[in-house]
Amino acid sequence: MKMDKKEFEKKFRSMIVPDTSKWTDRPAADRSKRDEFKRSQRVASRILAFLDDNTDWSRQRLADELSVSLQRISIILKGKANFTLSSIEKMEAILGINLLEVSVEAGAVRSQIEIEDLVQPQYGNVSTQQPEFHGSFAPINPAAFAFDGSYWFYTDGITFEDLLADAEAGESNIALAA
Amino acid sequence: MEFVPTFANPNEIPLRGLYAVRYDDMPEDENSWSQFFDSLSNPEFRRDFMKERKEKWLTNGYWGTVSVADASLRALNEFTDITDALDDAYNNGIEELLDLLYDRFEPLDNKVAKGELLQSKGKPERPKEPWIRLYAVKISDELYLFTGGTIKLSKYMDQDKATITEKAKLDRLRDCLKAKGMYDHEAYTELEL
Repeated sequence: MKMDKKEFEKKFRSMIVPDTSKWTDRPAADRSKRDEFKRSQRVASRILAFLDDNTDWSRQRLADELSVSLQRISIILKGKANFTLSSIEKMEAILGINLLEVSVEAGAVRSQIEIEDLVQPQYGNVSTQQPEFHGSFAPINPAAFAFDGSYWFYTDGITFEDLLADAEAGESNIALAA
Repeated sequence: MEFVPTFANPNEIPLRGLYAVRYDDMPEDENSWSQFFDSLSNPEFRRDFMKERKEKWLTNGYWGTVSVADASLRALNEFTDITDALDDAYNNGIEELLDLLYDRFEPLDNKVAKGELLQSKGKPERPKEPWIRLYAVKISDELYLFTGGTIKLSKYMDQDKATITEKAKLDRLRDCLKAKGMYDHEAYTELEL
């Protein structure tokens, strides 16, 4: 049934309520602190994975080893903690994992996702180990990027497959392993 | 059921923009947009979501082999990309927001047929569709109702409980609009972005 536009608007307006959710106050909505937000989220995700993979590590042990409260661990795992680089280094040393550094490893899609992470502007200068690419990659669209020794960065008009082709031809410093 | 002006000015005539649906069983200070926003920006939610689907979708070859942590971070990146895009468009003016919604949202019926796989020079086939999906109903070319968003790892909506839930939310909205005599079958379109 097609209804009168004015009648619809009247009914619709009677159902409008103010937005009381305050979602714009959330860290994820604060564009001025996006780098910090993403860093906190990355640390949280890596530590959550560490806890899943290491069943002898509990949140309590994590708190004890890091000399922080359980409440602080909860904040960290919710991706709401602010970190200094030195605090991240300390956690990395204790856990024996990289929390921010991205190493590109074998496995096409895994690497593709890591690389998509890297081409986020805030990770544009993340230092990597010399990567070895195994297998083949689907083109990454729309991200185009280049690898320059130890830094990934955005470029215009170059696809990842272009880069791989250059690497195969020996015209770039991307290390390839069949 | 109520409508929350998420990317809209409720005083504008005619009504334009994106309103979030607040279902009756939601807490007072929540709506479909804030729930989507809070869940997807929570690393524990994303970890649990991915862990639950690890064997079926993340390690069976459909998306290659993806670790839970990598999947979580990919979802986060897509989430910030789309929420930033909506925020930017709205801040640039309602017309830009409407253009974005018109361009990016596609009718659900079409999307079902669009589960195409990436075919690329003999390379492994990988789905190229994004993981983060937003669901809305188009009331007119200028008025959209956001019902929810989730991570879609499956090809079709009926293959995962997260997207089944999103479809149910769309159905609830349609039923409510019908009950209130606000349903126009010619204009009403269920959308996925």
